[in-house]
Amino acid sequence: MKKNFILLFLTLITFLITLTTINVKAENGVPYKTFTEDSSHWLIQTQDAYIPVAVIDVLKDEKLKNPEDIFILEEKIYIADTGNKRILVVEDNLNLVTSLGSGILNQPTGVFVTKENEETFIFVADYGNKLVYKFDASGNMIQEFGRPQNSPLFGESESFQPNKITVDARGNIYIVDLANLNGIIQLSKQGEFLGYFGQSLVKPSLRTILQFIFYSDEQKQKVYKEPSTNIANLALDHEGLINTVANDINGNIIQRLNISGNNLLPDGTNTGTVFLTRDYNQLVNLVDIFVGPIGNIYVIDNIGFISEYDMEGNLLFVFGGKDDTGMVKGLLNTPTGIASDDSFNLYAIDKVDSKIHVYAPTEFANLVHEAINYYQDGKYIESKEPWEKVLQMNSMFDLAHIGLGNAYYKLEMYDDAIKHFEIANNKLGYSQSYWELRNIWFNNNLLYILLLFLIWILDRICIKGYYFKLIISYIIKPFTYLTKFKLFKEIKYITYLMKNPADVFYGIKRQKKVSIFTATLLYFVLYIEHLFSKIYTGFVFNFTEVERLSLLSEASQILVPLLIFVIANYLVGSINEGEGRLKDVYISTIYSLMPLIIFWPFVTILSQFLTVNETFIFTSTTNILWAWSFINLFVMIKEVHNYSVKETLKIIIITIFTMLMIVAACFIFYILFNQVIDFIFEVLTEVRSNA
Amino acid sequence: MRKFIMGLFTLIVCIFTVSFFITANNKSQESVDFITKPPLVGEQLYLSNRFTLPESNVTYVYDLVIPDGYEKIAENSKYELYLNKTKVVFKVKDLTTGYIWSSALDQTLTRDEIEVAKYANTALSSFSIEYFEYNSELNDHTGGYVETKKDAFLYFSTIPNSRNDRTIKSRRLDEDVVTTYTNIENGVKVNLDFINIKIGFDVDVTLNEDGLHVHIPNESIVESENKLATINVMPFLGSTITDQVPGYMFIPDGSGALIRYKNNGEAKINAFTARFYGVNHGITNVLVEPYKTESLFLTAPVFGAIHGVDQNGVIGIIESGSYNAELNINSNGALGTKFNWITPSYLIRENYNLYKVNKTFEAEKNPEDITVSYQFLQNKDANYVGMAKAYQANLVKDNVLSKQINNQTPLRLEILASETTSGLFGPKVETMTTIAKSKEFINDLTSHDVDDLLVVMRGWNKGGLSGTSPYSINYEGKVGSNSEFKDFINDLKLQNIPVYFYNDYVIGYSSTDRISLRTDIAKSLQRVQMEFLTPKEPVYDKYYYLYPNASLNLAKDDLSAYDKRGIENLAIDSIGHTIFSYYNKGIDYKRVDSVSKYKELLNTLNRNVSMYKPNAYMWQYSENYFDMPMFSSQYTYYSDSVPFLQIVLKGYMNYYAPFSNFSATSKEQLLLMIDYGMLPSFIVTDKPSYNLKYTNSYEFYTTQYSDMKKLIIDQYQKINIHLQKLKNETLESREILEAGVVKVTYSNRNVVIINYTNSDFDYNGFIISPKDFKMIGGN
Repeated sequence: MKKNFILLFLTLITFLITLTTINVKAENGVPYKTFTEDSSHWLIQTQDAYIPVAVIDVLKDEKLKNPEDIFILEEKIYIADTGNKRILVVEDNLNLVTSLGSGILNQPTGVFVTKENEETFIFVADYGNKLVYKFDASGNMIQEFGRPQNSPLFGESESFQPNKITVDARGNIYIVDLANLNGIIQLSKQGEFLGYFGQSLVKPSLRTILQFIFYSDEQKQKVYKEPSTNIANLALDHEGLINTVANDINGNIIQRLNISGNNLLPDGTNTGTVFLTRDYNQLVNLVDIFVGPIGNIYVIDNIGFISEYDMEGNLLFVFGGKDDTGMVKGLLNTPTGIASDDSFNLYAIDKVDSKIHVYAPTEFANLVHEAINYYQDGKYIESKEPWEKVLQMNSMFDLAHIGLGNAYYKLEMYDDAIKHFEIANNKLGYSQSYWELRNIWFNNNLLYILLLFLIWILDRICIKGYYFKLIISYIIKPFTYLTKFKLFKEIKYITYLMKNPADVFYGIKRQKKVSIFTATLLYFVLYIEHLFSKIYTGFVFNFTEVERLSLLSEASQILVPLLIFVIANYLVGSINEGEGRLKDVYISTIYSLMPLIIFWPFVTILSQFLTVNETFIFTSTTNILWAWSFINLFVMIKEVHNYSVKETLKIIIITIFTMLMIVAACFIFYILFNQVIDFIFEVLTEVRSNA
Repeated sequence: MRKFIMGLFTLIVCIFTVSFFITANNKSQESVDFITKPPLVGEQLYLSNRFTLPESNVTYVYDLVIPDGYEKIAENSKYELYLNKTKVVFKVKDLTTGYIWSSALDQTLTRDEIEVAKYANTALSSFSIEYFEYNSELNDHTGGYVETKKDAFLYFSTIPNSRNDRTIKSRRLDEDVVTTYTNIENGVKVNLDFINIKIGFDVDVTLNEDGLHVHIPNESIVESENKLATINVMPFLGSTITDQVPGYMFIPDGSGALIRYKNNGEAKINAFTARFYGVNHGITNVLVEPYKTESLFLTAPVFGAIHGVDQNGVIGIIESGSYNAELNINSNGALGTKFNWITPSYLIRENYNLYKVNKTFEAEKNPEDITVSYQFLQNKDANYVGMAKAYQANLVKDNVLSKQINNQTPLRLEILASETTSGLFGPKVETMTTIAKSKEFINDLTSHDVDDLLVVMRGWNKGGLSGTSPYSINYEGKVGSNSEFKDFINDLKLQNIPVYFYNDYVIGYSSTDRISLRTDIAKSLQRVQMEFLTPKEPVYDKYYYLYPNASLNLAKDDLSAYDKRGIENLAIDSIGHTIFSYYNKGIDYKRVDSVSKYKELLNTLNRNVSMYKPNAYMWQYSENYFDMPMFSSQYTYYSDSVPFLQIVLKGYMNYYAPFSNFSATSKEQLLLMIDYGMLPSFIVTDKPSYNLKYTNSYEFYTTQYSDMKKLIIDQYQKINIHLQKLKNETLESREILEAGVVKVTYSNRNVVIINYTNSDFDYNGFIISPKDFKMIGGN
């Protein structure tokens, strides 16, 4: 039952909808839209970065057949023409097309070209022959590498069927074998097995965690017998590091591995196509990776999306997509490889269609590349001009805002910097600029601050704080008028919690010091404070997108759990000899949250003036408030129901369990209700169609 | 408490005194040149099918005679019409060039040419049909009809099995088809009766000064329990074999596209079919992926073939029946034939799934007559420019187009005034540009000599742009007061700047109170409400098509409000390019019904209306053409994109490019606008565009006036200076001098040379710089 319930839950999350667009607002004569990403991984449409130029299936007189890999070095294109069992070398815009390896190769699926002492060598991974070949420039086979012999490390039963290949500057060979899950097979120049390289897992998703918790051992075995993480392809970057793309059921990941196999790119460099494909229930597998002329990373997936990342793993562009008619230039059917030349022209190969799609960068892409290039070199000031042009073309391009922010920061124009960081939602940059601005403010106003401080000290020491008390009394004075009202008294009663919480709850329970109306008002106040903190918490600590805030879902975050708690606690208490009535629990619960009600707004306001460096002030004060509230809750349960400490602990655990059951029950009811509605709807449709 | 605050304060002071410096680590990189170089394989962009390719100088040598068995049935000063009554094949002899066009193939076919009997039959039959066959033995579940459509031809062919025998055996289906000929003026009336299936119709084939005219009156169609689905008319007229004939096929896809004849050899070629004016949403569900741009469609009911460039050509103009026609485009290699043929199929009935489940077809046949005019082109007119001119002449004759006199060449400036964002308490209006700011922008532009403007206001209505369509004719108060709007309109009138107000009568949102979700939203023939989801669900996640009748009523209601506010010009979206079948209260309506209601709506409005991407049948009602496509769909089979639409409309209607804001290749776009005679368009806002990020207008990612100003002035100056001299003129010829260099000649003999390449071009001593253009000569 439980398992079915979880599965039902999972299927509900991934429901399918059909989509269509309103009128296209831009036209570049391109079949796909191009997107970039903002700081919260929200895809933003942008000017097209690449325009499909041509689709080629015949290279001079050589017709491609199911090609699987492409590589470009020094204006020469090397294609693993797998179906024709050869490597094609294309030079001089198709004027010279040569083939190599015919008669030797059986199923070449990977090709890599390297220069050693000005001499070109071509490495080919042959899946069919289970060998890696090394050819020289004129096509002579000079070396072959087979399954590592006499190497206990490699493993007796492990497969050796090379799919893809890369060779680093030291001559070490890196082989991807899709069936060998230990990682990339690393061979020395001579073909000795050096070890497995770069096996790292994609982070577990909610789904796998749930599976792990709820599946029986048998089911677990079934699931985990299947490949966990699969490194699909690899590329060498300009610093000699291995970049990989990997997939598993949880998603995809792009990695740059250092010499010890650790990933240097930020986690989550895999989000590009998630949005674009989420409505198709389609599994996205990254297929190939190529490092472009400025260290930019091109990645292509099985659906046909091409993503470009900068050197640090920020998504620059994602475009392309699927077309199985084979007639749309720029959309792919079964992509297997991607490569770029030195001027950012892209070449994507399509296995089933046996075609190469060629894309040319636009003025916009060139501008972004130029800016990125300066930016990566740390030449922020030089990058200012191209970034400004980029923003003129697309004012939602967050990377440009960050670039400009950094440029202004370097130029000590912190006001401008902070503006751009804020638009780009870049917390660190904002915090740094704010730090500078705050510093300037302090420098300007230090004298006054010191003066005030001095006056306060003098006041305190010399006349025992007379003036301070005077000021405080003036502030308090208007409130004394309010003491006439019962409501105010009831609210003021909350402050006694600081002195003696147990007394307060006794007062609520026995002396009826607080009415339900006041408590309800305080629940509402808490809700407002929650909203206030969502909206007005300082930029650095605020992860809410105000535009996407909804009153209802915010209520469900704070009020609904509290109410469920009240009900659950009352029910549990009433069958466990607790003395508290529903009314008592309701009132005391909100009174227990006194620390939040009183101090939360101040923390929210304080957060406005803090930077990333002072994060702990914000988090610790928030935590203290919550901890304090929980202690109060504990005391509250103990006092209201008149339990011992041990009983209280027991009741709390049962209450939490009851709360979970209430949520589950509501959820099941909701699902059943939906099913009934669906059923009625279907019956009606059927009746109408046959009427 | 005080201690706590003091402690906190001192803590903060302590932390403020600590500072951090982050220094960027410098990495050295080789210098990279950020200028696009041609790719290592494949062509430069200007050699791809985004542009027009140069013509080869191959002359088509032909020696054609009318074979035996044909009798002359009509003639005029330019053509002679022959008919073979046993084969039902018409031939037209072009007296100017001696070329002979044939309504079907009349030779014996071989297996090398055609591999499938069906297409041999298609090639040999001037007319063929598809029908839904009734089978009384089938149960009620399928309605008694066979699910797949059946074909009926004039010919019956068998493909030989033997390896040595390559000849396809064909015979006339005399026993199954009865043909009766009646002489009429300038031609003949043929009655075709498929007696086995009891379906028949009349075809009037006549000859006139333009060429061949084919007419199938709707009332002549006779059916039995078998129901007619499709009629094919002369599918192989203008067909060619592989690359035996130099030339191309013409498709009115987007701006226009060509498929040059080449031998496709063993390459995998698919046949493809495109519906005129786009798919019928009333019948077909379309899944448009959010990452794809909307596909272009055939906006004019024409098609054509050229046999020898500047020698012979034919353009088919569908004068009636285009709403339910689809164009079949077949290059050699497709469908197992060696022929290149392009032909429309006329859909009499469409099949669909009732309630998205039960397969069925339209009960009533489409009420339109089928009328096609095949106009033959000779010598210098035998190319796509000639086709456009022929179509233009046809439209002028029908009073659809009228010559522009004293025309201006304005820049279209759309102003996005307000849009809806979701707020804590439901949608709220985000003001993007106030009326005062709009005035300021216009004044600023005029002070920079950008004075020839056409202004379109978007989001002027109460509630902002999205979610409120069809708009109530009330101004959004945050944008400006009634009097401000009034002054705005009057001021611009004095400045001679027309201001259009944006509206949409086709699309409705559930959030507007102007429509009733129950009665106003159109249902498709499948009996399902026509709703469309927006990809990102920013504020409003779906919209609906309204019943054309509801649209009409809304427009009638708005009349007095327009009058009251002095709104004279309207920019109406969707209506120009939306056409669908629908179901309402027990009646199935056809595409033609939606069009006629929309035409009635436009007549009712009775003011200047400009439309977005209007289809040909709406040109008559549209003052300007907004968002004209600049490219074709560039399918891999296409060899060229050509400015067919532009040539048809130049000198007759102002047509505007899509917004230049979003162009990634501004230089190329500018050259294309000059080449095609298109006017520039921009959309601007006062506030930065990122305010639109969480609205339904998120696709307007760069609109802020301060960002666009320079580009607007720049494009205007370049284009306006140039187009000023060409206003009212028509485009007379367009020649590709060499790859990437275009020469356009206008009616006043002005010549414009456009150089798309990266090197200088020398034209008779005039040097045209790379990615530049020059105007030469003229009166």
